[in-house]
Amino acid sequence: MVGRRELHEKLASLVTSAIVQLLLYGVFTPAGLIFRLFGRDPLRLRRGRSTGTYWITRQPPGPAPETMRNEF
Amino acid sequence: MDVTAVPACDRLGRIYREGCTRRPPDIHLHAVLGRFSLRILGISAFYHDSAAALIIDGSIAAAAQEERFTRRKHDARFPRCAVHYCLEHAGLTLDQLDYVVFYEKPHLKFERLIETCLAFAPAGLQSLRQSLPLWVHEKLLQRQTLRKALEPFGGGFDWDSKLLFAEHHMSHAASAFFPSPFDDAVILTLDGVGEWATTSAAIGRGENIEIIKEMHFPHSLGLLYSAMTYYIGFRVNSGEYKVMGLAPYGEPRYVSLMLDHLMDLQPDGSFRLNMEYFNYCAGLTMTSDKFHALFGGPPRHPDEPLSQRHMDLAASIQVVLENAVLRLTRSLAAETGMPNLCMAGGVALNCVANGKVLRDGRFRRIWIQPAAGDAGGAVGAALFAYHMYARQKRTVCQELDGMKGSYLGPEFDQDTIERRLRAIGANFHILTDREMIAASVDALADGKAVGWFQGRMEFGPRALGARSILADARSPAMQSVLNLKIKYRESFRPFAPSVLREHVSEWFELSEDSPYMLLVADVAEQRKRRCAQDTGGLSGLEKLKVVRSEIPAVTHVDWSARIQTVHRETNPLYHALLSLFHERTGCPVLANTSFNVRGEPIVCTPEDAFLCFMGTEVEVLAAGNCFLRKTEQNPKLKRSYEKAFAPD
Repeated sequence: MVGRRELHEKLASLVTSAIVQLLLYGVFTPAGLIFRLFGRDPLRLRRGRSTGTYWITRQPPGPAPETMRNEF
Repeated sequence: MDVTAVPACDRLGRIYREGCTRRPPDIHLHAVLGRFSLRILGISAFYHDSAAALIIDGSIAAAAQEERFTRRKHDARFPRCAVHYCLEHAGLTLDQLDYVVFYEKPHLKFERLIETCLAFAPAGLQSLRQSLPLWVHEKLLQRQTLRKALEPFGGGFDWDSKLLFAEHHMSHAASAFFPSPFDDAVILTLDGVGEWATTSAAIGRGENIEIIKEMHFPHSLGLLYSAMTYYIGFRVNSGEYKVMGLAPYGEPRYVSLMLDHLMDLQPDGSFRLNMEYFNYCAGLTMTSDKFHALFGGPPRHPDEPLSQRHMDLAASIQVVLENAVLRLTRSLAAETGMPNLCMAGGVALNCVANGKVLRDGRFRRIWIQPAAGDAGGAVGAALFAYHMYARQKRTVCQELDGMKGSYLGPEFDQDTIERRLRAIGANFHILTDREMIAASVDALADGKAVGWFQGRMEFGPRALGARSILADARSPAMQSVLNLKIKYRESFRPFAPSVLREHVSEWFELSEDSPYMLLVADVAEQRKRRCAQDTGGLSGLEKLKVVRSEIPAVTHVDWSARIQTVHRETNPLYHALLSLFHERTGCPVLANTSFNVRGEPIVCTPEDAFLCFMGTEVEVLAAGNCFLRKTEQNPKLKRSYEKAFAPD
């Protein structure tokens, strides 16, 4: 039984690893490169000239209480 | 409530079946309040320091961290035992709750993971391999995970309409503002990261809070401080306190290097990190090779001795943090013109920075949530739902605040303490309150360390006189004894003073309330030892040898102290102990450290207290009205506690 569980865990690990690699190299890498090429920078990693503040104004201020129903 | 329905909480079930059933008045509070009372359970979990909190009609009825029950430090798993405690405390089942609120938005967090992958791909395989399966389970399926974990607490709960989610920084902001004694205030929250926000500024007025601006991941003061914590060789999300304690031993000689390379800090306190120096977005470490090259070597191994360089790095990052926080608070004060400031988030536990904000004087009053880290998010999420989702009025507690001294955890009645101590073989005397206080004061004045296990356990990371080890602050040897023989921790770490509120300004450069050990101020000038004023020639840990004041055990090497003011209103027993010690010795100050050893969660039950007592050099234990002397215990019950817990 222990052997079967170990085998199961190893197989699960291999499958997870394959899926993660597929996602990273097959999806995230090309998509990320294209996004970067078009100047998309949601993490604000690009170092440009400072505008005097790095605060991001929340417009409108919030969050609205109704949004509590959502997981997003 | 059928406690057997929660199989994994046997330990807690025992606590509450035996310990709290006779405890008036808030047990079965719902029965007194009737069906119109509003009951909300807040939960924080799945990152670190998971916790639960129960709000009944806007008042915090109970709150506790999971680690105290499971005995696993910073336990991040679903807080099953803490939820059980909260419900049992009020005699409620799940279906009697109006809402359950989770302290963050899981899908927004998942979105951040994906965006981070996109920004750093093809780097980040190992990080993604570790985090993706976990995040799919924990974040995408959060609603189902919570439902499954909560279902054993009772059926009939309307999951679709009653399970709510608050934003992480809104949970912090609500935990900072709603229990504060202010009608309105600026709220500053600072931590590692929530969903996207790492820093937020909000305005609180009455029952309303609005976040007006934020800074987003990966630009984070909390993660910057954690990166240096990692580089100095301490554990992230736990060792930050050590960095703060180590800082006064060093010189801030790396400040310019940090400000020139690691971050771009603006005059208003906003900032960007240069991610070339950090590795936490796509790697398994906090810092990159470029960071190591900048500061002259690889990260310190935990077993490697601390050098002057490490102390200088700690001093420098502390100065950088204080600089950023002061710029933030100054600009917010100027922008809003409001006199009150509330703070929360893990960075708000940096009491040295908090003390500087207070002394800066831009805000007339400041209030900081005692459970400022993620545990406090459980309180904030529930309060946010109460005031803003359910639109309930707020009653501002003008006297102290709405946290009830942070004594919100489990309590044990005298019969239970006696029975449970007897069951594990303890020998004790049963004393009246007056006798127990007198015997404890005798032991303290005699230089003994006293385990103090009284009343409801504290919520938050600090022991505040409910689960504390106490000692005479006047003793020059006590700091070293407490660190090496009782806490089994590094010799450089300072201890905090508890002082009678009425006498705080006679002993420290502080006249405000500091009930939660969240403000640091210097020892009063008249209490300093003149011969110790000039110790400029000493370096590093040599500074420890100097007796700097009348209360050396709680005077750090820069003459600072992390102060807890003790108030009769919130902890009359501890106040009485300090008062008698004052009467006997002329000193209203005791050294107060948490009742645990390094790596162990603070004790929760009488058994935890007895085991820690027997495993360390604590000589006396006052548990309720039971008074225990080490010399009267069965030596066979002693066990080595020194290596019982993994170092934190």
